[in-house]
This record gives sequence, structure tokens and C-alpha cells, in this order.
Amino acid sequence: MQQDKLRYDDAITRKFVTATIVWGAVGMLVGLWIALQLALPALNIGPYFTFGRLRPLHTNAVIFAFAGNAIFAAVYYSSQRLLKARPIDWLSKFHFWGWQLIIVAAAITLPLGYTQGKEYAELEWPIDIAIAVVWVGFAVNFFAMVRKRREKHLYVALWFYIATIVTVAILHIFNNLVIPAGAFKSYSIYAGVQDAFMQWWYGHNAVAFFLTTPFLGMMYYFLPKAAERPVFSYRLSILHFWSLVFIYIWAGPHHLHYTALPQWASTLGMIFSVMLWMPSWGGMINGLLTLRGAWSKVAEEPMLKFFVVALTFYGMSTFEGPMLSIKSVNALSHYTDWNIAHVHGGALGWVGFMTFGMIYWLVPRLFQTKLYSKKLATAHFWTATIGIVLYVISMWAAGITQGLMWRAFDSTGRLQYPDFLETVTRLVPMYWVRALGGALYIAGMLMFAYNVYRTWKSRPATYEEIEVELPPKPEPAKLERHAQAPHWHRKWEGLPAVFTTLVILAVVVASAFEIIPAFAIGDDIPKIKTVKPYTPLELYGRDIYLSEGCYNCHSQMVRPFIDETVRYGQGGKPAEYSKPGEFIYDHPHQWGSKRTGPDLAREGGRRDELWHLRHFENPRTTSPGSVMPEYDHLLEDTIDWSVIQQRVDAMSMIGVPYDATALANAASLAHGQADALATKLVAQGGPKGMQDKDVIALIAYLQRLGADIALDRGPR
Amino acid sequence: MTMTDLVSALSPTQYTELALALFMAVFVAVAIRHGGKRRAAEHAACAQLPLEDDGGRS
Repeated sequence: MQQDKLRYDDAITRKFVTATIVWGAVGMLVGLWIALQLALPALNIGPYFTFGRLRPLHTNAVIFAFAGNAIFAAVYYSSQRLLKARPIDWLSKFHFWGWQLIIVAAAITLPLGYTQGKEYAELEWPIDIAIAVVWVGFAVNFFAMVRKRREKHLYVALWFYIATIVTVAILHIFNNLVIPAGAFKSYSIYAGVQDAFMQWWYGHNAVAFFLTTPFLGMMYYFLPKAAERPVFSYRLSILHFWSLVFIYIWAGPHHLHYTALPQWASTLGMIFSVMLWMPSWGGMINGLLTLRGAWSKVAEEPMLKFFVVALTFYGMSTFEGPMLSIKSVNALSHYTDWNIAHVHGGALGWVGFMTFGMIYWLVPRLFQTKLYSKKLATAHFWTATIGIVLYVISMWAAGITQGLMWRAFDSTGRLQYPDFLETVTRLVPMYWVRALGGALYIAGMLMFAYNVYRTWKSRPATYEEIEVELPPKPEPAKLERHAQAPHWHRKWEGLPAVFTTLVILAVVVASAFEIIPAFAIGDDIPKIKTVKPYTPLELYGRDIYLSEGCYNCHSQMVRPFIDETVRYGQGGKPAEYSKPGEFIYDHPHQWGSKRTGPDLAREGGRRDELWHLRHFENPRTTSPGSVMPEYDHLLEDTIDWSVIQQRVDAMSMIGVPYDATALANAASLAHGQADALATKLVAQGGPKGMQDKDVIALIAYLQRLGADIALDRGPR
Repeated sequence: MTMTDLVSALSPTQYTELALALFMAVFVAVAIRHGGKRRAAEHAACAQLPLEDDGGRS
């Protein structure tokens, strides 16, 4: 019988580890920058480095660059060993360099304002296509290893990788279906309620299948390696896997409680979110109990410290998440910094610490030398831990403070804090504490990078290629592990195509049960006869709103709460809460997820045009204490009239009913409206010559918000 | 009765109830199959896989 040998490709893991560290440092530094911008608005450097443009850069960098490269490092290292197979070398290189080019493209286009305006899916369509192509390359490479493997059984870590690969592909493709309206401009094919539904189906499951399942795979492989003992309960890992895959996909609508989303979908999201608590804690307990009998090692090994705290944060986040999904809690927490605390507990604690633990374990093996300094790694651990604690506690305090201030009424029945700004300036001290926490975390990251760099410096002149003897290629039926009659789950695991199909089925069926009814109601969304498509100028202004990332700080959703209808009302009358029929032409929706500034759904007509112009020029002149960036470039930049027709035509293609005039003369319609608004500005005492400036289009859009429903006071 | 008749007859609430029942059934089935002690040895062997994957290196 032939005795084959296998050389592992650790060069690809080295590449991904290096990229993880480099992009992690960049992404986190941008995070610190935007954290400081909220405390010190002067740090906004327009037009490219304002909060609205940098926040997507931060989220994309830490999710897809830092966590993404860490996932790939873990997958390439562990899969080769668990499957006893080597990936296809050229495909690994294509995957690595393709992914890094995508990251560079994101780093260039986001500050330039090219964005789809959908959270965590901001990248424009050419980059989305590149992501799909590179991801398919990764999938082919992974499944090629699975196909030629010499180990029949697929270890549980590999199931989590399979779930990641197939689900991320599904999420990415369906959420990013757009109609291009230029080289770096597109409109989502979904509108309003349905777009929100798709967006948070994607957004929530990006957390599930990009920031959770691959890291659980990492946990099930690297924790036993580091602890030198098997996972506590393999049986529990099976339950953990299938429960997560079945339940997670349903939970997305909890991001949309009390919005214009139908109640049934919202309740469903809440119930499944609460159900997620148990399997998540099952996984955490499984991880922690793997260290049973090895706790003495935790005191000695910094990497184990990282794993233990990562699992603890996994447990905390997966308790907090279901709690926040309960409607009555969500009514207080949503749109506040509590969400930011929750996200960063998971991101810094779970994702970050799992990555650090893995790399500290990997580095001596990849560079075939000793870790430069355990002391420095321990210092990294404590610095970063203190940083997370400061970060999370300050944001909990900020979130609860702001949520309570928004809803407070005084003894006379009036809002206690009617000026929204008061609920922001109160948070600034907490923003400083958050920045301190973030700075400590980054200081730890830099210690980590230095430690890895010094370890790399002491590497041998040439790496010894690790070669292992493969077990003889046996007939599947003769495999010892399968000699005893395998039961059905083991059979699936031995049949990766079937296993993968079942995972896809679980994800698709769960998605379909939510998405089909949500889309079937399309024609039943109560129409509001006064709601009309945006004019060409307003559409262009809306594109500026997206481009500047205004949705990062402003929502467009008045929830059906008395404090919100009163706060956003005009002339002493409460506002209408937001209705699904208002958003049928919003491609994409702009409901937002955070209110650093006030909601804008009823902004139209609230203030005159000159106020808006002065506010964009310098928000502190109209709103002392505001933390909004200055957008004075909007008063200088001129409207690109040549793209307006193309954009109207693209919107028309996805069903927005523009009339014949708009379809033939969109630019001249836009000119007419801009001239009228500029004349109005001058009459209000404003500057002349604004009729061809970006600011006019943005003001036109803002003045339209909520205006249509205001016309619809009569019976429908 | 066609599939279209069946699907269109369901209200959104019934959809979700059906899905919940379906998924609970799958969960219970997996739990029962893997809950007993019968497969302890097999699970223990699977759990060893990461520890024996580097040709003696760890």
C-alpha cells in the first residue's frame, strides 16, 4: 500500500496572520480617531475624513480585514491538519491577494464617499463583485481540500467553517442586489421595509456567520491545542452547531423593533433571539470546561488567558444580545450607545481576544522559534482587558443615560429634555472614557504587533517544511472509525456534499420563512397617496446624504412612542409616527441604527433653508455644543448635473414611477428646483450663487423628509 | 391542492408557527440521537482529532 506524505502550506497562514495584524492596527486606529471625533469634533477633517465617512471604514476594516484575515489564517492552518490535505497553492495566493486588494479598494472608496448607504454593506457594486469572486475562490479551495482529504470524519471546527462559507455567500449576494447608476453608484433593488428587512437579515447574520461561527470553529480547534486536551463535550458541540445554524438566521428583525416593519416579523426575531441564548452558552461552557484540569496553565500561558476572557465575553454578549432583543428593553436601548457597548463587548472581547490567543499560539509554530516575550503578551492581555472594561462600561452608561433622557417627561407633561443636543452633550465625558479604553486596547495591539515582529526577526534562515505521513488511502468502508455501523450524523459528516447541502437547506429554509411573507406583503403595504418619488434634485441630495454617511448618526424612523411623536412634532402638534407606506421609494432605506444626532424623518419644513446652510457650514453656529462635523465643502462643491438623468433612469428601472418629464428632462427639472431654492435662500438673507452647489440638493432632500405624509392628514 | 394554494392559504403567523415546529423537531431529534451515552466512545475519538493532526508536533 502506498505511503503518501503531505507538506503543509504554512506560508499562506503566515501571510494571513501578517495581514490580520496590519489591518487590525489600521482599523482600530481609525476606530480611535472616530471615537475622539465624537468628543472633539475638530478632529473631523472634511471632506474625506469626517465621522460619517470614516465610521464605515472602521467597521469594514475591523470586520472584513482584521477578523476576515484572522478567519482565513485559522481556516488554512487548521483545515489542512484536520483534513490531511493541502490547499491549491495558486488559489490560496489568489484568495490572499484578492482579499487584500478588496481591502485597499474599500480604504480608498469609503473616504471618497462611494457607498451603497447600507450598514456593513457599504462597498459599491464593482467591489461587491470582486468579493463574490474571491469568496468563491476561497470556497473552491476549501472544498478541494475536503474532497481530497485523508481523514474521513469532518471535525466540528470544519462544520462551522462550512456554515460560514456557504451562508456568507448567500447573505452577500442577496443583500447586495443593486442596479448600477454609474461606475461607483448604485441603488438597492429593495425599498423601504423590504430593504430594511434584507439589510438586517444580512447585518445580523454577518455577525452570526462572519464574527461567530468561524470563531467558534477557531475555538473548537485552537483551544484544545493550546490546552492540550480534547474539547469537553463533542456531543455538546454537535448540539451547539445545529442549534446556532437553525436559530441564528431568524433573529435579524430584532434590529427593527417598533419600526415600520410588520409586528409578526419583529416578534419572531425577538423569540428566536431569546432562544439563541441557550446554545450560545452551551458553546461557551463547552469551551471553558475544556480547560478542566488545566487551569494552572491559564496562569502561565497568556494565550490561554486570551481564550478564557474571549469565551467570557462570548457568554456576556450572547446574554446581552437576547436581552436587548426583548422589545421593552429594546425600546430604551435602540439608537443609543448601549448598542455600541454590546457590539464592542463582542468585537473586542470575543473576536479580538480569540484572534490574539490564536496568533500567540500560532506564531512560534509558524516562525519556528520561541515567542519573543511572554511578559509582553501578558502586559498586552491586561492592557487590552482594562481597555475593554472602560469602553463597555462607559458606553453602557452613555446608552442608558441617553435612552432615559429621551423619554423623560417633567411634572407638567412636557419633555424634560426637549433639546436633543442636551442628550448628546451629557454624553461627552463618557465619550472621553471610551476613547481612553480604546486607546488602551490599541496600545495592547501595538505590543502584540511588536511581539510578533520580534518573534519573526528571530526566525530561522529557512523554514523547515512540515511534512507528515498520510494514513494509507483506504477504502472508505474499511476505515477503522467507520468500521462499526455509523449512525446518520456520522454518515453526513463523511459526506461533505450532503452535509453542506443540509447546512444550506437550514439557512435557506429559515430565511425563506421570513423573507417570503415579508415580500409577499409588498402589494399590501398601505399606500399613502401623497407619497411621491423624490424629485431629481432631491434624489441627488439623497445621494449626498448617503455619500456623507449621515445615516451613521441620524435615523429616519419616528417610533410609535409618545416621547418620539412629541419630540419630532411641529407647531405644538405631535408628529405622525413612521408608516411603511412612506418608504416605498427609498432605495435603500435610511432608517439608521444610532442617534448621535436627532431623527430626521420629520425634518422637512421644521427650519428654513438658511438654517440648514449655516448648520452645514458650521454646526456650532446654529447648535452650540453639537458634535457634528463641518460640511463647508458642500457650499463649494458643484452639482454634477450630467449624472442626474442616469440616476433617475436607474430608479425608474427598479420601479419608481417617474413621469415622462422626469424621464426626459431630469437635469432641467433639477436646475429649476435648485434655482427656486437658491432664490429663497437669498430672500432669507443667505449667500448668492448657491443654485449649483451640493448644499442646495441636500437641503432640498432634507426639506422633503416627512413632507408627503404631512399632506395626507385627511382620510386615506 | 397545489403548492401555491397551500402557501397562499398560510398567514404570516402560521408560517412562523410551522417553522418553529419544524425546527424544534429537528433540534429534539439531534438532541435525542446525541444525548445518550451510547456514542460516548465515538465522540471521544472525534474530539481527539485536533490533538493528533500534526504528525506528533503540537
